[in-house]
Amino acid sequence: MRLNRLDLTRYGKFTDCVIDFGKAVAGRPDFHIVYGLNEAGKSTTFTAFLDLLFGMHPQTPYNFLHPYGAMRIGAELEIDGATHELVRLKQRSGSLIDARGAPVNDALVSGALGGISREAYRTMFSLDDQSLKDGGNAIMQSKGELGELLFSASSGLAGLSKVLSSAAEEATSFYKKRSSSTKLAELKRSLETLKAERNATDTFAAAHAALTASYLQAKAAYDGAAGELAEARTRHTELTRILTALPLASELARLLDDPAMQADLPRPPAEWFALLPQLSRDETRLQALLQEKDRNIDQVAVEIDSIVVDEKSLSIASHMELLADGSARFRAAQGDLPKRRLVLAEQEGMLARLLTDLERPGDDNPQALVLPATSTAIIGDLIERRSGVDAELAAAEREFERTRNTLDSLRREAADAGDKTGVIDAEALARLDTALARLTGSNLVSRLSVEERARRQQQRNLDGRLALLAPWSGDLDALAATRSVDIRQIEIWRSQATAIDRRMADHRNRHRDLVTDRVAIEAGLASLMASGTIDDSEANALRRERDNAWQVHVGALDRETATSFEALMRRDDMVAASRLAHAHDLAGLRQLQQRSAENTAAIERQAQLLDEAQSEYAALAQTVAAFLPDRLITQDDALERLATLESWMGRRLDALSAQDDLHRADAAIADIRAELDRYQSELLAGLGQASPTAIDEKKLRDAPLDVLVAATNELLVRHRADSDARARHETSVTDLSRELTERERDWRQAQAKAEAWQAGWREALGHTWLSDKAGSVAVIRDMLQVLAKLPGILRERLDMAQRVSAMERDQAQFRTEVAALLSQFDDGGSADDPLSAAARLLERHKTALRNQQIVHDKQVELSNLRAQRAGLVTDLAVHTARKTELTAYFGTDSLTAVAGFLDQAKERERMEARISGLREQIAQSLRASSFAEAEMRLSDTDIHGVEHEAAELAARIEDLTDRARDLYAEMTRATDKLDAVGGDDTVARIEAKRRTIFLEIEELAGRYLTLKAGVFAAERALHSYREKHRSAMMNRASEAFRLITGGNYSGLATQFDKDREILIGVAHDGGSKLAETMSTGTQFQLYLALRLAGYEEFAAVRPAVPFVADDIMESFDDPRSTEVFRLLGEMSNIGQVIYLTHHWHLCELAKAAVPEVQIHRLP
Amino acid sequence: MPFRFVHTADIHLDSPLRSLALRNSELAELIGGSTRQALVAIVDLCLEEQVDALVIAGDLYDGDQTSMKTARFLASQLQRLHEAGIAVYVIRGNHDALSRITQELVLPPSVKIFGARAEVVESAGKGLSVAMHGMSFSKPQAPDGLLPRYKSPVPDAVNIGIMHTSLAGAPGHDVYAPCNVADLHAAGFDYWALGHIHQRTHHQGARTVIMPGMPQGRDINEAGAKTISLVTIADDRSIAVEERLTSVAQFERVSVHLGGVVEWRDAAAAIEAALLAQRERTASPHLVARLRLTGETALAWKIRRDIDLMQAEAEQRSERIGNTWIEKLEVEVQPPAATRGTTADPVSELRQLMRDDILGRSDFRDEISDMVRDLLADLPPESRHFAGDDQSGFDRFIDGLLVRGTEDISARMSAAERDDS
Repeated sequence: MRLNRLDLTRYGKFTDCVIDFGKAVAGRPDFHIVYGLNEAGKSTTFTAFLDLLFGMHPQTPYNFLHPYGAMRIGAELEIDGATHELVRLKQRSGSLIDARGAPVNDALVSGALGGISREAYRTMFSLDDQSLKDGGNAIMQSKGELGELLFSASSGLAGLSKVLSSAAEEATSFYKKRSSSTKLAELKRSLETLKAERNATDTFAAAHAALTASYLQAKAAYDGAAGELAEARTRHTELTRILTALPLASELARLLDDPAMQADLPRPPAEWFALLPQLSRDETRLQALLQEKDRNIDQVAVEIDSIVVDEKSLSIASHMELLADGSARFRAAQGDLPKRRLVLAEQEGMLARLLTDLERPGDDNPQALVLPATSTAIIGDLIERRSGVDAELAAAEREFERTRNTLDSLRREAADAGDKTGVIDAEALARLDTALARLTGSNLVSRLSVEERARRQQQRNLDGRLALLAPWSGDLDALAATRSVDIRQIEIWRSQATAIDRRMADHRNRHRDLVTDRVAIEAGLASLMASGTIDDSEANALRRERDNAWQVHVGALDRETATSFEALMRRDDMVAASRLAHAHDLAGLRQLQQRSAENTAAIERQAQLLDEAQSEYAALAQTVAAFLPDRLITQDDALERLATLESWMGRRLDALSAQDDLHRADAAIADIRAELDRYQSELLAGLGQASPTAIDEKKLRDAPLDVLVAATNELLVRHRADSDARARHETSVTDLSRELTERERDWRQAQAKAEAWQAGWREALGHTWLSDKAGSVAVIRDMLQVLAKLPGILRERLDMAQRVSAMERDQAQFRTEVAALLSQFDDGGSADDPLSAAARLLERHKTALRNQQIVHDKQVELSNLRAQRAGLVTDLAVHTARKTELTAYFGTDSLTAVAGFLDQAKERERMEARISGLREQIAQSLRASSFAEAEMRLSDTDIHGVEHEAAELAARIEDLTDRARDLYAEMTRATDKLDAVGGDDTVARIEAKRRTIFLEIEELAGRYLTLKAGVFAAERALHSYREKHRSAMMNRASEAFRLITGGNYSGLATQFDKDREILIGVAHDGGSKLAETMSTGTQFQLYLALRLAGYEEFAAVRPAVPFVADDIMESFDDPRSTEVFRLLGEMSNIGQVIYLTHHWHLCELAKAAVPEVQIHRLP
Repeated sequence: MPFRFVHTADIHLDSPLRSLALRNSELAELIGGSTRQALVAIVDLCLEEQVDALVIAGDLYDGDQTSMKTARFLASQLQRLHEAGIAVYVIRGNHDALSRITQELVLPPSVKIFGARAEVVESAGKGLSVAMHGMSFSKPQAPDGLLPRYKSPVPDAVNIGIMHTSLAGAPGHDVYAPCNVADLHAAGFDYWALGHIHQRTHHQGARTVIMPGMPQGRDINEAGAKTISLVTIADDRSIAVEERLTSVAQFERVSVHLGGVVEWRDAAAAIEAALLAQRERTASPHLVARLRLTGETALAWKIRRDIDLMQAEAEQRSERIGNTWIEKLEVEVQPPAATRGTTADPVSELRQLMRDDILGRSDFRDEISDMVRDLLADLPPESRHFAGDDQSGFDRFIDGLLVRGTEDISARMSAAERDDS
């Protein structure tokens, strides 16, 4: 693969930058230097190249100028002899495309690269300062091991030995025999710790069994002791009971012997014990109560006697209400009367004023002036209606006048308008309307514009096609007239021409070969001739000359002829001898001569055949030319003419078809126009019918269609507006005429109403004293208002007079009544003032009433007291009866004595209860079913024996208790031990940890073995690799090393060191130097030499790929740099080498070393 | 009243989980005692559902389980059932046939442990008369089928058979009481409560034959959700079986296809997505995943070399998901086909040399075999199984080791110094 051109179209800082390496030229080194200052983008260029080959990284940082979507790298690559225009875009798939944008399979590139990855490319085919340095280190690390060196030189991988040693180290960190610091040893220690922990924590079944056994033993011992203890306790308890029952039995015996139990005392009823204290209390209480009641009764009787009741005053009770009311009225009249009299006088004055207003002053009978209500109402109603009647009449008259005027003016307007507007034929208008609607409804106008636009496009298209026909010129008719030929025919001709052409080439080749042969034959002949061989004709001529000389000599037989003959004979002999000696050459000569003859014939034949073919070819060319316009016949070659013809036929066809398209467009436009014209004349005709003047006025006859349409529209709109206005006017006139009639009728009705009112008025006033005032409605209305007050005033005056007289009458009557009552009492008071007299009477009556009430209350109290006293007497009788019962029972007379007897009875009862209690206690103590049984047992008991046994048992129980306690503690300890085994998961968790460690060991062991096996395999493989590549690479590397070191080293060699093979440098003085002991610079150079050899090794079995070096000679002196350039130059004979630098002097050095180097500058 | 019971087997109480994920002490704390948690869950279920009995069809413990702590824990749980009046029927399986810890233990009276001779326990409780048939392994092996030795079904009773059996194999070949499923269906028992196989199976047929599987898986080979059966035998003797989840932690293999992935973080995202999907499918509280990375990816070498980094990445993401733990990563990714074959890359050439030339050399193989044996001798016996338990297993291990070693070292060489910086 080769990079012909790299387009940094949009990438990093680059925009449309192109580095053109040109095509490789055979025999010239393919060596390029890309020169650019710092930051010019050299490493960007290299990355771009890699991105082109392998695709851009999804997060490539080169998007700081052009966004991801726009990034683009292009290149022309040469792959297996073919050139490919490729473009790489930044996208997920299909990122590699060709010049036309079609996607290209990445396999094209990866195939050309031999399937190596981007990273492998970078390490294998590029070099920079760092990789050179790493390479030098690798040489150190490998300690010169040849396999590793060759491998790292080929792969560009510097860290191989580091990889192997770190893998081995990693393995060793897990396991190393007899080492205690490895991971395995550590894990084993953890296992031991866990095992110990488990043993400390766990209880095994066997240990558990032992624990259980000791527990059971302790339990049995405890159970035995506890049983014994219980037995002793039971017996002790039994003895204790007997000892307890004994004192009880003696108390019982004592009680039974008590004299109280023997006394003959009656058994009073039980309730008497409670009754007695009650009786004792009642005896004194009832007596005291009775005495108090008697005292109270006497006192109340005395109080009643001391009160006197005034009976006389009580007898006048019926007058009391009258007196109270009369007093009140008398006192009210005394205040009111003067005021009432004043009011009456005022009312008399008002009446007099009213009569004056009615123009009847001093009328004796004002009541007669009052009008009956019916008359007043009728007159009032008429007065109210008067203004309404008048207003109605005026309004009706006004409306009638106004309507009449409006109608007149409308009629005048209608007459005027009728004159102005002309009349248009409605039918013509409808037709016009329809025509217009059809036109606007069609899309003819828009279609016309579309078609016209299309036509212009097609015209341009045709012009373009015609232009493409150059150099042919002429019009389309001429074009159509040119001869046409079928494409298939062209193909036939082409295959014929190709066949002939191939034949001609064959003939020529054959001819050329034959001519070459002839040259060879002639050369052969010449050489045979030159070597002295005489051909047959020459020999024969000499023979003939000798024979002639012989004949001459035979004739003459003199010395001269003899000498002549001898000379000729000698020559003939010489020739014959020579020919004999060269008999083999002679045969060759003859054969050559024959071949020469055949060759000449063959040459002629080939020339002839070539001529034939050429003329056939020319004839074909002629045939083709017949179909070509003259101007296009520029070549004689039939194939070229065919190509021209094919292209011509294509362009001709294009032009003609473009013309067809144009024609079709024209036709379409013509159709649309014709249709539009039809619409136009239809419109014109319609307009003419509808409004002939309009056409002429606006010069529409020849106007364009849109103007015509506008005019028609206008006419139609105007006409519609006119007819609408006329219709509205007619409706108005009809409406007004009808309204005028109605108004007139209303007016007449109003007049009739006014007359009716006048008649009613006269009628109403005629019957009253007001008839003389009928002329003025206003006077009547005022009189009526005044008159309306008269009845009220009259009524009030009469009322007031009546009330004054009633009051005066009441006062007189009260005085009389008081005087009459007072006469019955001689109280010495005066009757002049009736009011104070009445008050005295009332007071006396009240005092009498109060005394009467007190007497009544006291009498009620007295009767109550008497009833209570009777109750007490009864209670006392009952009490005495009970007391008698008790005293009689005990044969005594006082309650105190009874109390003594009752106490004695109670004591006896208590003792009896104690006796039965003791009996029960004794039976219970001895667990006997009855007292009798217990009594019997007690009587049998040896008291001393019992006491002795009890004491003995108490001591024994104490001993047993101690023993049982000890045994219990022992049993508890055993139980605790068993419980301590526990059901927790400590052991299970330890086991889980151990299990995990076992797994971890397995895992790590697996990794250890994998690493070890891998390292071993790799080491072996490196040996194989060395064997495979050593011979070729060693030679190349040795030579390169010699060159780069400028002869300081004469080359490289190897030497065995145990199982390894070590690379050594051979110094020019014959001494050898281990790679690790060389100077750093020399190590770099050794590495470089190996890398160059590696490149050649690659290129030896695969197509080369571009090798990119990035300023690797910073630390080299000029002579060495020159040598490196020379080496790179040599390398570029195998594959393309690109050297990136920012040192101009290196460019100069390169030019000196490789004059053909091409230098490209980065902008 | 219906008769209800819980049927489980193969509890393997306190048998440790086998997973590298337990290196994480947090996880070890959470699920280290999960066989215990499962047993507690079973007892809780019995109490909640107020069942009549708990049936344990063998293998309460591992055979080498000798801690009395384990037995006492069992006793304490059975005591809870006893206090609730729930009967327990236990047979011994191959693992606990000779277990001393059960003999040592005093179990509540409501626990019936069947002996080595077939027994039948009848109970006529609340209407249904139930006959429990059972028989224990007397030795760790029972090459003859046990079915013929069971007592005949009790007439008119619901007959429940409890048996520890490997089912399939023919008598004589399989040492764990082999028997035929068809024979079980035909034996006249209403329900067969089986044990021994750790994967749940409902053997369809005329009768209800259930292998409930273990209630808690212990390693990746006991993957999936683990359950027990809650069985209800109605008054009409119809049998309804409900499956109830008991596993606290669930082992799952999770395959992650990384085909075409180019970016490291895309690979990590794919792993997270796969874990998330598996987490959603996982019923148990904790998911312990073994990740298998497959597919052709340009990252193949990098992943192989930096498998530790990838594991850390996966662990970080699983932590984010929650209750999800990574046990191990298995790398089966391949470089894209285009770069896998013979290429001009010397690394490929070296790899090809190793595979085609070096690995085939018998002296090389012997050298590696010796190295493996040396190491094995230094390992604790419990950690030696990875290299195979017999010669053919050892050979297979060596085969795999050679390929793995080659691939790993190639990955290291390929990726070294070549990371595009």
